[in-house]
Amino acid sequence: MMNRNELARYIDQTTLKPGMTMDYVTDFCEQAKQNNFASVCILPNMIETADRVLHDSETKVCTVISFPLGCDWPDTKIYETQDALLKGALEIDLVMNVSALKSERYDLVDEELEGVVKTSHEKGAIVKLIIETPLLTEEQIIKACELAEKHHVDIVKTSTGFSAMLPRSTSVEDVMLIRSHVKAETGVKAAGGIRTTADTLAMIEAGATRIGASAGAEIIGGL
Amino acid sequence: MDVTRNTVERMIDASLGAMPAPTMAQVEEFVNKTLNYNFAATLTEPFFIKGNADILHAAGKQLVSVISYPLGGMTHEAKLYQAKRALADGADELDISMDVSAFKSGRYDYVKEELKPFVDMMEGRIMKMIYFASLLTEDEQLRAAEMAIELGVPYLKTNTGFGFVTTTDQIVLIKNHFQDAIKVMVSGGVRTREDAVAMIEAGAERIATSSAFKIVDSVNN
Repeated sequence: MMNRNELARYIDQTTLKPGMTMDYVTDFCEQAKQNNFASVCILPNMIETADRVLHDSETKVCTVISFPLGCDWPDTKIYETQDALLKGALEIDLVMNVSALKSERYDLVDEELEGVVKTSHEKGAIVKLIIETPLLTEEQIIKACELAEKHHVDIVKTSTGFSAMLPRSTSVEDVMLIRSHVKAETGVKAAGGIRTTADTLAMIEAGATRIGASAGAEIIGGL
Repeated sequence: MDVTRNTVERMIDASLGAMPAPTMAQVEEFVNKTLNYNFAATLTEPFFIKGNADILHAAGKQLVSVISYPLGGMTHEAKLYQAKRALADGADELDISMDVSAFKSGRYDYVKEELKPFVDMMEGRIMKMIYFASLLTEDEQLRAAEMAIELGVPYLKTNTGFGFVTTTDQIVLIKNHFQDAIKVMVSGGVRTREDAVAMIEAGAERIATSSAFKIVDSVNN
């Protein structure tokens, strides 16, 4: 049975709402650091604010690229990644171009992954590819996993959790499907609608190695 | 007010908004459908500007790209890159989110400075500043409008949609204070002809909606 500290290492403590103030993000990061979460996931314009609190700590600065729609050309995504790394991000959660994947323009997904992964790994940062399972068929999820593996993505992430746009939350089945189509050493991050300790443990049981959640403190507090 | 089909139609920016992650073919089909209407413009994400701009331009029509959308959370540098790319790809107008975190943190000088290079790069093309009215107090909404006027931005755009609904009060607030000094585009929650007419009567000059065809087709003038 996992203890609180062990569970905390699974959590990407997340706040991606528009209009969060610098003071709010600073407090949010202080609390995350105290809880020793794996990372704090914030919008790119908050990277420097988060880095001031989290620099050299066990809790990494994680940001999102092309979030939440993923509707950018590869060069834009690569540029945004370079800029995020320069400002202090150590984990890059990239929204895949879901439209390109669904249009079978795999060359565009290849191009964005090649550039974003290379740039990030050179700087010692890891890449999580958000594939947006609620919008994909099973075959498309498998194809996205293949592309992630081909380009040495560190972690495949289920969803943006951008509920205003999505038909459903992330499911245990999403995690199991991804888990069975990536290598054992590739991580799986479950995100989207995960709010309780029970939700979190079910995702980990299914094979998740990271959990994206805004209620990290409550989740570990439930143990 | 007698709002005719033509009046409404010419104020609308038609967006596919409601459909998440459309295929490229679905976007092209949507763009082609807008050719049959006299909308102010068609509105998409940066990825869909290239190619679709050519389709619209051939018919003498306009394509708009959103920038730092829908959360207003990109860095200045990444926003600039995204905007330059969209203009190079053929965008006729840009709807640019202000840095709403910086704004809510009280860093007004920064927010204004941050937007200046975008105003400069437009070279006569229309820029709309998305100011996230639903996240701001009334004082903050007025301050955002003042900033846009000082910058020479012709349009304010109220919200991004995605759960944020624009109220007629938000329009009236801006128009009462600033009259013709700034135009207002509504975005968020306009689904029917009645919604559109209420916004126009409140003073809105443009309307972004993913219900464009339905709204226009329901007006029988």
